[in-house]
Amino acid sequence: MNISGKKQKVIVFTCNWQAYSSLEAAGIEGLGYSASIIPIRLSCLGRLSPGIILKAFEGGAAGVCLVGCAEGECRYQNGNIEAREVFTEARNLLKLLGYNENLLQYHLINAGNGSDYVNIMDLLMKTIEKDREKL
Amino acid sequence: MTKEVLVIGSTPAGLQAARNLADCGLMVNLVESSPYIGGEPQEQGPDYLWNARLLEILKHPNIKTWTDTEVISINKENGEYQVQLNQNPRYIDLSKCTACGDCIEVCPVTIPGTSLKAIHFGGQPDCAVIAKNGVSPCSNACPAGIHVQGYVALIADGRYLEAYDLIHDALPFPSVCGRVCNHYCEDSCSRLKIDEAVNIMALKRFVADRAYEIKDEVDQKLTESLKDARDKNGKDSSGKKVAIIGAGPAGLTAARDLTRVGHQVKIFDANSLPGGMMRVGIPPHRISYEQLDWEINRILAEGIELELNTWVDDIPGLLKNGFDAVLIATGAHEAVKIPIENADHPDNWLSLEFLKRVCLGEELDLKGRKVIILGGGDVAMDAARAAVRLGTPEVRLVCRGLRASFNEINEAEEEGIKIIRNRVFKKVILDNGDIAGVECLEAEVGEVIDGKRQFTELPETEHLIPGDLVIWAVGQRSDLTFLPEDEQIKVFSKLGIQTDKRMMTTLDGVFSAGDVRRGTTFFVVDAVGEGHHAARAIEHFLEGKTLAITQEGPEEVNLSLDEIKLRLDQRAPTRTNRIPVSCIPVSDRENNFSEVELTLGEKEIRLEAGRCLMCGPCSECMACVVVCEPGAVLHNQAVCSQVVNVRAVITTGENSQAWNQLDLNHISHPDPAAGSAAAFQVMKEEGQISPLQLRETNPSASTGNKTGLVVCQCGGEISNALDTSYLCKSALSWPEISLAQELPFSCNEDAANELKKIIRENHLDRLILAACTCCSLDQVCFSCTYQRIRCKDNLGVFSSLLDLAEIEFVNIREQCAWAHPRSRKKATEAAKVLIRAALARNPKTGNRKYEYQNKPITTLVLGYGASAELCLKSLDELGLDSEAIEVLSGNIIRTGGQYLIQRPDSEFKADFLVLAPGSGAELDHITKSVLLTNQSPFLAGDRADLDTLEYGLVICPPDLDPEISGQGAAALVYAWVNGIANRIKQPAAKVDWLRCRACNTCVEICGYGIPEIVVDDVGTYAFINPALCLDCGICSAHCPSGAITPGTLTDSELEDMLEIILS
Repeated sequence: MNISGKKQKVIVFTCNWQAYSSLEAAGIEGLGYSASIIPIRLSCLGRLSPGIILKAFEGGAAGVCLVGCAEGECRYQNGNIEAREVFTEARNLLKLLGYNENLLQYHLINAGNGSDYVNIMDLLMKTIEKDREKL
Repeated sequence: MTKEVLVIGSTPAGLQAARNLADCGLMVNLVESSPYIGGEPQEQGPDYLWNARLLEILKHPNIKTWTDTEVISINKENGEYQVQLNQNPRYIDLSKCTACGDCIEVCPVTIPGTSLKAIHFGGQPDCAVIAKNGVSPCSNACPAGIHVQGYVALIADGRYLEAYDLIHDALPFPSVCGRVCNHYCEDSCSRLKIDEAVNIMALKRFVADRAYEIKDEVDQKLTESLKDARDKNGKDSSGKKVAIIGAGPAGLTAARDLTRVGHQVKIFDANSLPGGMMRVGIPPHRISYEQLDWEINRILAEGIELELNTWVDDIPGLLKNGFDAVLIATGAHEAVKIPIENADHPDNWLSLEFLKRVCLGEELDLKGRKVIILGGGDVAMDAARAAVRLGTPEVRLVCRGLRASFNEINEAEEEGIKIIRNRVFKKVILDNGDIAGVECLEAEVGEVIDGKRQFTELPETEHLIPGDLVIWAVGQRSDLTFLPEDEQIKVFSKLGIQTDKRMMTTLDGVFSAGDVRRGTTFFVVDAVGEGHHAARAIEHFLEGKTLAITQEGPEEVNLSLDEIKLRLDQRAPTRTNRIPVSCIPVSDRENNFSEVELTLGEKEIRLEAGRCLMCGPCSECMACVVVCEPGAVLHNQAVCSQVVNVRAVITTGENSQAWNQLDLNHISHPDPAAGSAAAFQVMKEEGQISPLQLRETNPSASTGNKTGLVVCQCGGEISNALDTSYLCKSALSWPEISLAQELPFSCNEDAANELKKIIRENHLDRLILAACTCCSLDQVCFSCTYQRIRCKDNLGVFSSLLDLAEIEFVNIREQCAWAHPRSRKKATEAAKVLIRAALARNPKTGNRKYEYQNKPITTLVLGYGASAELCLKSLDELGLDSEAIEVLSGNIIRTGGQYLIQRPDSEFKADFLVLAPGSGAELDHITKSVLLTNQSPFLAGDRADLDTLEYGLVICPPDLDPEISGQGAAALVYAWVNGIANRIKQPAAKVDWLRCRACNTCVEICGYGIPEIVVDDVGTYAFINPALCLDCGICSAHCPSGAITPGTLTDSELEDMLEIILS
């Protein structure tokens, strides 16, 4: 909860390919996850810059997660790996700005893997809860 | 010359040929004999890649896919082929099925030997398919048109009321036909070939009794379903009036049918009760009047007027007095006598008159009398068994030949009736004015020929059958005295009313059905069948159509003995015998009309129904039709025959055998490479490639900002999990939204038309469609579905482009409805946020005219393999420039969408690279030298595939026939070049040259080597060829000066989305 008592949103950036397919698989298999998680679909995870990620935190996101294609299987050759560098950079910036950098996560996932996707979401939510307890 | 070609067989090779040719601008007819393209999915590598590939084929604007289709003939004429295609029914509308799977849950039939239901899914196109080899013999035999196997299957599944409804839909009198039917169905049952028929009649009686036990509930269900049907059809009353003479099974059936299509019906009957022969002919020890009366009242309650005790004899008058049509269904109620001596003595009774008195409850006492029944049919048997119940007289049934069933003969004999066969009646003997008996001759009785039993009298065998009351049951006929005297309505041989194929009599507008039309007597089911036909004929007549009623239907399934044995082996318990019905004890039958036959118990019923062999295997129980929200199940679909004219035919697999005298291109190799090689043969004749011209993604995008929202309910899949109407309501309060409404579906044609109408009528510039479709791009992702592609195709995303407005798709099904199944509120809120966020995505108002630098296309062939030379030759034949160089260790880089080969002394540039190594070692060497990411799953594959996802890169595997790989590689290059020209281009990243500092970051980071630094008169800047860019957006994320904007989802859109989501 933030000050206004409104439940904070969690942003999940997925690429259009293997990550999104796992997101859908979770839905098709009826595996639930927190409804405060709002997915944003990108063509490739590599499309993200640290600026966008920081923008999400600045806007009040409780957490941000980047999910892309499994290693070596990026549809656009190297987007998932480029995203890892952006992720590291953004984490450093978050730390610098006084955020808990663990609230930003990065995962690669195989296509059609609903349960893995849900596990990632649960892990993210756990980290967020832990962070709240500290406050 | 036609632009069409034909590819027979959707093997990987066939699919590849189809795709390559379609990319070149040819129209491809892809014919597949199974319901799915691509064969068994597990053979083809990862499912998600194979699925995406199949969807690419299905969505290709230049490919028409013919599933379930057989090639009947191919003729060559003037260089073209005329091909006759027969498309077999799938029984599912591919444009409507949403793959929700509701049908599978309700299907009672599991295909013998498999775990599949008779309706099931299995591949792409991902729509249901029904396994129906034809109509089962039992269903085909039923004159009333009951889906017999259907109700047997439902009963086996324990679904008695559904079974009842299925029966009742075709036959309004299940209680009668569950007891006295002559069950043509059992006579044609496939199990007769191996043991005994399923006791179908007993099954029917069981569910009829069950329904009667809860008749109020059953009535209410019918009222509701009739109301639903009326609402669906949208028409209440036709304003047409039909008079029906005779409230027997034929008349009542026709009345019900006609009422249900909106005509107003009035029935006249001469008797004091409706039901015809069922009510005044079949004595109560055989049927339940209580149940029959209920069944009749249900019919009348549908809104039919009934006038009893009315003898109609002015038929033309009915037509003059407001009736638009008349149906004569008066039956055959007049029993006849044989004109022998003393047959007119008052103690000669007519069977039907006698039975009518019994049926209407008149108290007759035959105690102490000696009754002789003359006749051997069902009426004779009924009369005998009725007589014996009226004071236990002596009853003798005397006949030439006995037609009654074995059961009934047994029961009659138990009741003390003496059956005397093989007799010819000579005269009625009187003694003192009273009947003393009937004098008979013995006879030798033969077969029935032309409806008449053959017999030879044996001379000098005269003898007396003693008796004082004779009941005549030797035949019956129709009383035709009510017909107009002027013979406007003609009769044939004084027996029945003459009708044409439409069942219309010689008087226009007057129809006839049942015994009175056929001039002879049949059973209740026959009469019901006649009633249905007459109703359809009258319906056509009233609509002004002159369609003759044809009886042609699907073919009957004929199981061989081996198939039957196999089916019996495939189930447990393997074999049970037919379970007969039992009777009440003889002592309980004396002097009363209690029903004699008992119903089977539930356990026995399930066991008996389980004996069904499921001939169909689809039982046509119609459960799928009832449950299918989009109305995609079409059980009446027929074979569709069509002739296509094509310029070339490519055959794959075994199909080729039949036409090998023709000069067709045959692919014997199963792999995609062979498909490309076959495509090459066709391309060669196609001529020069067309110049590259990119179409704009949205030529007339409007600049306004009037936005509407449509929320798809997905037939309940979405609306059951989240509140779609609340979504619309709250969206209307947003300033951006000027319209919000729900649609039951969004992926069928009706929905597309509705969406277009909504856009047009409300002058929308932009529409947000919240459904399951997720993007408006011309691409297939790993999670894409046939339904999403269909939705986008209907809206013109892949072909004509919807020029009405921008459509933004939001997936609220997998992302909200199904992802948060436990909380309707949370799912709704999540959907609301996603839809709000979609508003932040900008309408694409910018000028999207692409400029493609129309440079000559060059191809470089690398390697020493035999395929290299063949590839060069093939490229040349296709009119493409090419060059071959030796394998080198020098640098190969990709820049500007081209391969650049730098050697110390020279430089080569090529758009395409064909690797044609002579050995595996050489392949390794080349791949290393061109620095390819060899771990890519698209590069490695079990099947011989030349295509890679590396841009402009083709590989000829060294172990493949060089002719296949050489020609195939050339075909791929050719298809690629043309494909860009023939396709709508996706959005692409764009460089703002004013802000670009030519820092080279994008050139280095692009995985495909598309950006290049160009120098021209405006300056030095990066250029991204929109024809090649895949719009992944990586370059824009890394551009230090922010000069690159991705084609979709710009930074500012993303920021706006975040703001909305987090607000």
